[in-house]
Amino acid sequence: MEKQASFTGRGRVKKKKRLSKRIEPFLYLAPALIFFVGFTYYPFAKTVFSSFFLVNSMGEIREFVGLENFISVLTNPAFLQSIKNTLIYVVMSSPIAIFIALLLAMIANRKTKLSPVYEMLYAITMAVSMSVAAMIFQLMYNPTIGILNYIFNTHFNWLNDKKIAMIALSLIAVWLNIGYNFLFLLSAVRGISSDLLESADIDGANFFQRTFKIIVPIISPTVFYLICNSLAKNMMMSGLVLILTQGAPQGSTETMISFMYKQSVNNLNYNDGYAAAIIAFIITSIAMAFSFSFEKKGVHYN
Amino acid sequence: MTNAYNPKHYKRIKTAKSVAFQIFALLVGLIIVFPIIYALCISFMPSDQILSMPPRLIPETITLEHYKKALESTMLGRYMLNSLILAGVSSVIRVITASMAAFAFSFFEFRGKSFLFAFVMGTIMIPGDVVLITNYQTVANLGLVNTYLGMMIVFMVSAMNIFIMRQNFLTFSKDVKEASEVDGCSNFRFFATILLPLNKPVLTTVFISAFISTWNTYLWPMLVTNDDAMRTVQVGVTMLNFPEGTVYGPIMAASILVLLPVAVMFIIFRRQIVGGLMGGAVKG
Amino acid sequence: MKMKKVISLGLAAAMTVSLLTACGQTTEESSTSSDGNVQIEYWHTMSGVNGEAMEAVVNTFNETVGAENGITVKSVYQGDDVSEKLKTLAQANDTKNFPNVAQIVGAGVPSALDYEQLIKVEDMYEKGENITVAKEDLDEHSVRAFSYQDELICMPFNVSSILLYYNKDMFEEVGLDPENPPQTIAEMAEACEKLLVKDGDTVTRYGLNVAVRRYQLANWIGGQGEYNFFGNNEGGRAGMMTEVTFGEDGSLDKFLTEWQKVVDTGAYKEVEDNINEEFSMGLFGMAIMSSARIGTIDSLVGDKFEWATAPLPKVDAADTGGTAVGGSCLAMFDKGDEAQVDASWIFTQYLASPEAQIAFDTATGYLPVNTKVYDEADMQTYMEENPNYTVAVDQMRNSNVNVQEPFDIINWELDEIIKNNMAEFGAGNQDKDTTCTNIVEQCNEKLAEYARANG
Repeated sequence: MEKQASFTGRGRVKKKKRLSKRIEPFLYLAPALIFFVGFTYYPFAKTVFSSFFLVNSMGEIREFVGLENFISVLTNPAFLQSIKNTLIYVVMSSPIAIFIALLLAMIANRKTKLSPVYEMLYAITMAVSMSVAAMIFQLMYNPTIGILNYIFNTHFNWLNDKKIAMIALSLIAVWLNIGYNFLFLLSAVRGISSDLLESADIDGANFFQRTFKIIVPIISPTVFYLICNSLAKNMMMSGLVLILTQGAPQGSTETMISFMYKQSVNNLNYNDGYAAAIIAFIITSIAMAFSFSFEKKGVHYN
Repeated sequence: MTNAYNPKHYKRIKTAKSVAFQIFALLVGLIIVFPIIYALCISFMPSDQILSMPPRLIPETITLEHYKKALESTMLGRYMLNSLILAGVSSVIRVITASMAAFAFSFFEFRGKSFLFAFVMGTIMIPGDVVLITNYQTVANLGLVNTYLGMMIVFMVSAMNIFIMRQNFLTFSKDVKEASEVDGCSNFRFFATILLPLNKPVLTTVFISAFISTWNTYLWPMLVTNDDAMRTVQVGVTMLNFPEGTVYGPIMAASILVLLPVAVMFIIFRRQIVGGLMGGAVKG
Repeated sequence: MKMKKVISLGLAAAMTVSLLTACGQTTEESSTSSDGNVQIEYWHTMSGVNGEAMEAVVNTFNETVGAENGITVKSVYQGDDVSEKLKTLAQANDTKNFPNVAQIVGAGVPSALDYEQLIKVEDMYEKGENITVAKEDLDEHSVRAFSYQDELICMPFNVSSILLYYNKDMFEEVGLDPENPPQTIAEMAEACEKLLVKDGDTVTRYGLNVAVRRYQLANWIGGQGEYNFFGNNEGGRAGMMTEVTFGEDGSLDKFLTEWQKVVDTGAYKEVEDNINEEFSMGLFGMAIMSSARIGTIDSLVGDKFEWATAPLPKVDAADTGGTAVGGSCLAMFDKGDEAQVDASWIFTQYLASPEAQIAFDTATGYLPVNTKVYDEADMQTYMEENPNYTVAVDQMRNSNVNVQEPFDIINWELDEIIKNNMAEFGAGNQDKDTTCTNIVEQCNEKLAEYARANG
């Protein structure tokens, strides 16, 4: 049958093949693209569109106002503060969680009798969900009956002091992300050939030299992935805020997304809500672009 | 482990060093899990001891009252099941959508490829919360409020997953693909019978990371469910955080109940998870 | 439309792949249950002890009045975000997922008015069918609280009053008369000073703990003189409130001048961490909280020390306004089923009936919304045994009906403005005049923004 076709209708089959070949990659892409269009781009386009209009509390468009909504949020000290808070949160939580996880991975790298046990301990925070962690830390942070002030002999009002509340939330995020980062980094570190590490040993490199001069460059793709991952996640953080502080005290824990959420859902102010969403999007894009430029310089693929 | 100079005392020092190192490593681990230990202790502590000054860690007497209360005032078991269904099914779908998309991006040349890749990656920067209300409207119009499908629908694809799969597929030898083409193997057969089986680790990784992120979502499931029986664990646990008077005991008990099965699963499947991550992480 | 089709197609494909159709099962909605009863859904916000009491009342209804009338109520605890949930449903015009009856806080009434699904209680009374609780029996304070333009929008259900809680043992210890608690803010400041205990520079015991937010301020503004409105249009009850009036009429300044005395003692804790627990641990001598917490405080304190409640200290000794009714009411929604509306009406009235009110109030410490309750022996005994509760009842009944929390749709935003500024003032970081101007200006700015988009 095939042979016959190749003799008689060669041209047609080829054409058909070419067409199907052209379509084929799109078939693989289709499911992903449909979901992206339906649940990301379509609502996003609608948000962008609405942000140029005056919208009432039922989410209905009233009149075109140009950039007025953007000017309104960008001159709102509460929103400016939420941008600052988000950046503080990202800077506090992303690198620290990766750094701690890297140290843990270096410790766990060496296989010993007990290593399965402590590997487990290092990774277990991965099994803890955000709201459970929020509940546990809420009690630990309690200024009177919580254990943290007692252990460190401090009098911090962790979640109610505007100077440290954001740091307190970042600490929860660091703790939560250690496990995930650790597992990724451990596998990357274990993937490094032992020859390389031994030669470093012979060179007399100490622990830190070995870690940062030799290992980090090799595992840089993993580190890059983790940075991208935690940037994207932390820039959008709102859960801890909404569960624990509602942005208090004095707006010191408000993040861009919690601001947006509260404006739209609590205050029915979609004008601020949509504009804040777009600005959050722009800021995150800049941060991602920044980290991708780091990929070109600092990431070595073999 | 053969060593040219290997006298006995050197070995002994090495063992002692190793024991010390292991104890150190273990202590570090205990610090990391401290919050969990703390929650465990509080969950068994009678209320008056929780409110004592100075705070204590070890309960003087043990009570199961908090567990009783946590189970009575919430449907924790049902919440767990809901979360499991939500995370499990949407993660499987994610693996499917991501691997297909990554396959197209790493093995095909077609018009608009870089645009589509940017189109896909661009979604990373569009926060799910930004589009919350509009997505809710879509889901409500489709009649999916209070259904599992409604909860899952926004989690069925992730650009990050596509990204990590593509990174992996790109390191896959092009020779194998060419060889299979020469053998007359169709693209789909190559994808399903060669590429995917050989990339099981990355599929596992993506599944695990997808599972964790959907398991952890808070806002969306809260929004699309208003039936108690459809709530997820994330929302359910915080429901014990009463506005009039926080009840720490039952909250800690509920937290432990939620945490325990996941932790146990995690311990049991550690090998697969770590194995998956080992093979799955971006190759160095 | 096309978009929807594309999406549904994609979904269908995804579903087949994952074979998950079985999991997407939903409970079939129907207005009648298997036993032929009309089934209605009721959303509430009560948790803990209050939640148990709520469930008990609903169960009693299902077994008695409900059974007689062929009604089954399914109650769903919604956390404290019922108003938010309703907003989302209303925006998506998702009538199907609306509850039939929902318990909402007073501040949620004005936004509920915008929902086309809402049925005004006033209209049900006008229709005059199946009336079991006469409108005249309802407490006038509660009626006013949930009325807009003199129409009762939602049925009052659980209300409370703001009180001063104080530690009697501590009063005695520092030479204050435990039977004679402070009646004005100035007197409270004096008591504060005496209660203060310091260890070097660190305060180990404060005189007073309260974060002044919208709720507290509304009471101190509203109670001044005979009564005093929070904003224009009678604080939002005669029309949309578009500005606050406590700036121009000087009532905010008057309050802040008094409050300054409290702040100056250095014995005032301006943030609330765990006000219930800390009061029970003796970390401060006085607190200002809703009467709904009497039960919680009772169980936390146990027999550690003697404590009592007193009417909210006044701004000026000559003020007669009293305090506002705080609390929740029942909103009814039309889902397009006549039988469900009738059932909802019967259920809603039941919750405001003397029977349900006594059961609920004696279990939780909320105040009656039905005046017939006071004729019942059960309530009389309860009030005798619970003097702290009686303080709240008396305070409510002696207040002017015009003293109310404002109907400000953006209550979250105003709350945040007031809370932040009062915290800065309380910590001594911001002087009185700045605080006054800030609160007035920021509130008016937000109210104007809202009025512009929705006017």
